[in-house]
Amino acid sequence: MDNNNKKKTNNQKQAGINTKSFTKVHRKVGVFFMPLLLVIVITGAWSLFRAELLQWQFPHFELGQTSFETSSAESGVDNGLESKSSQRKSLQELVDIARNEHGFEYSDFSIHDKERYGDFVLFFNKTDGVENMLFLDPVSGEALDSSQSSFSETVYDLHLKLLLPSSIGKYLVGLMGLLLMYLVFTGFLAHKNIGKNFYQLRLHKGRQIFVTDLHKLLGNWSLLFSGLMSITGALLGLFSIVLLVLAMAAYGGDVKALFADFLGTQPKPAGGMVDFISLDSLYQLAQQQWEGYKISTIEIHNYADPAMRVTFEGELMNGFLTQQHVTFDAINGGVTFVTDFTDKGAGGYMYSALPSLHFASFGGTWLKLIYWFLTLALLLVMVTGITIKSLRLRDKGFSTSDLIVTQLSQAVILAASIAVVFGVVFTELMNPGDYTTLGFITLAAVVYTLMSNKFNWLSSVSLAGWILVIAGVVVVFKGEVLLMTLCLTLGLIWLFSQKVGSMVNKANPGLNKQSSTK
Amino acid sequence: MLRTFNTTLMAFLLAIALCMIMVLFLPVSLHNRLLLTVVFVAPIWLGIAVWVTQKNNMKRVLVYQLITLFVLIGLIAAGLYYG
Repeated sequence: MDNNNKKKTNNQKQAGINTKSFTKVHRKVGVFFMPLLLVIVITGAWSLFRAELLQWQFPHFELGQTSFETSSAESGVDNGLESKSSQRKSLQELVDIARNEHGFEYSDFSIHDKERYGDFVLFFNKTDGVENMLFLDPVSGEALDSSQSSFSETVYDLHLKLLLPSSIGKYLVGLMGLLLMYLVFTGFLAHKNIGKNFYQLRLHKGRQIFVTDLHKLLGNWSLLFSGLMSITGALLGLFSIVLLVLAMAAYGGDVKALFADFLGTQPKPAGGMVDFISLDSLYQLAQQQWEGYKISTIEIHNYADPAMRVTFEGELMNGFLTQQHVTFDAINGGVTFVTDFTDKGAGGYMYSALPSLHFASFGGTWLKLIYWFLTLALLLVMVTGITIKSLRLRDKGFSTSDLIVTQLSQAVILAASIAVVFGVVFTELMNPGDYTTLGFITLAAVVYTLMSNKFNWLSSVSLAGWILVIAGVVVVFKGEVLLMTLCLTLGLIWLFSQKVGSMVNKANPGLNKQSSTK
Repeated sequence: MLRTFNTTLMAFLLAIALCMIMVLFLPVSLHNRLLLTVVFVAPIWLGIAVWVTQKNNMKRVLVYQLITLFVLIGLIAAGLYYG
């Protein structure tokens, strides 16, 4: 045995890899940043179904298909929805309703389609750092009341910037993405026999060995996904910092010049009101720009001004390439700027695919479900990581800082579950889309976690699991199969993460006795 | 402490410097260079961070990193000045 060990260490020295330092860093960083990472990963998983969340929260809006394409010749649209889509108001009518009836009178704004924002048309404007949003039902022209905070937007904001001021939050999330990437790769490299970790799962050698094997097994199989998510997430979060550096190298530090080179510039308003080409006609013109071009966002600058510009942003290759832009002069219908990432070489394709890889926008519900299950695997890896830590320290107990982060992690899991249940299942009782309500839910989760640890109540993670499972069962009666699948799977993952240890102990009573006598 | 410094800040500075070198010297079109850089900045940082993590002598690593950084800064300065 000793000889074998010596050989192994010699081999490692020859390969020049010091696995001990990887293990050490992986443990420390992993435990310390667990609560923040959990917030980002859980909200990220739910953000995959951002459009559906909005629909589940406000089911009384009976919405039809809201794609701007009036022909609605998309495959897979059933007859009932097609008849609704024919009643849908035109783009220009919707803009007029938003401006005249709902007071959305900004001269610069954007309109987003259902792909990302549910079956609503979203009007968006940002003035002096304040975001103004208007969700409009495209069939009736009815708008969501501003007091009805959208749970899906709150979840997405948490994922995007942790509800912090825009740039700081994005940087923090970007840094967490880098950290997750670092954890994923140090975790992969920390083990001596990497190949074995892909299949080894020892069921009858005690709780610690089983959980460690499960952690390694799931971690290895979801490595590619976790790595991809963290890299793309980090890049999207830290994008503006990278832009600064690029601008320094290529444009003498002028970030505006960089933007102008890629996206063109918008002229200043000339003043006055003029007639312009209808937005629907411009939409038709934009669709002819590329074959298979699917428009997702319309940006309008200087509305009804002589210098009015309309930019269409959309996707190619079934949504795999995002961010193809074409800008029109809305007065004479001429094209003023085109951003085509397909003619910018390999870098253009890679960059353009980044958001779609992260948001799973290049496939339908099935792709999102695949992403969902891979995220569940990542969550299980994270939670088993904490379990390993607690099992390793069974006799010694946690240090104060570790104890705080572990309890915070438990509270995060509980709070997320409660929020989801009230956000999409029992929507009449409270609205966790509202920041104050969300704060109270989090506080309640923290208090329960502290009490449960003190009085040996049901652990927060188990409670979170049961809440989600019960919600999943309730949802069955509403006929929401997708929501049921999501709630049940996430709930069962939480329950499973808590039960694995005791299951293994029951399977091996001899070992259980030994540990209890010790 | 030195390990954390080398893994995070120094590695990040090196990654940024390498990206600037890519923007300045890669033999492809400007747009392609810029976009490639956006895509590769995080993996470059990760590579350096992982390399630093598994080293034992952090003082030596810091010296290596500083020397590399100075060389890269020299190259960037040259690229910006004559480019």
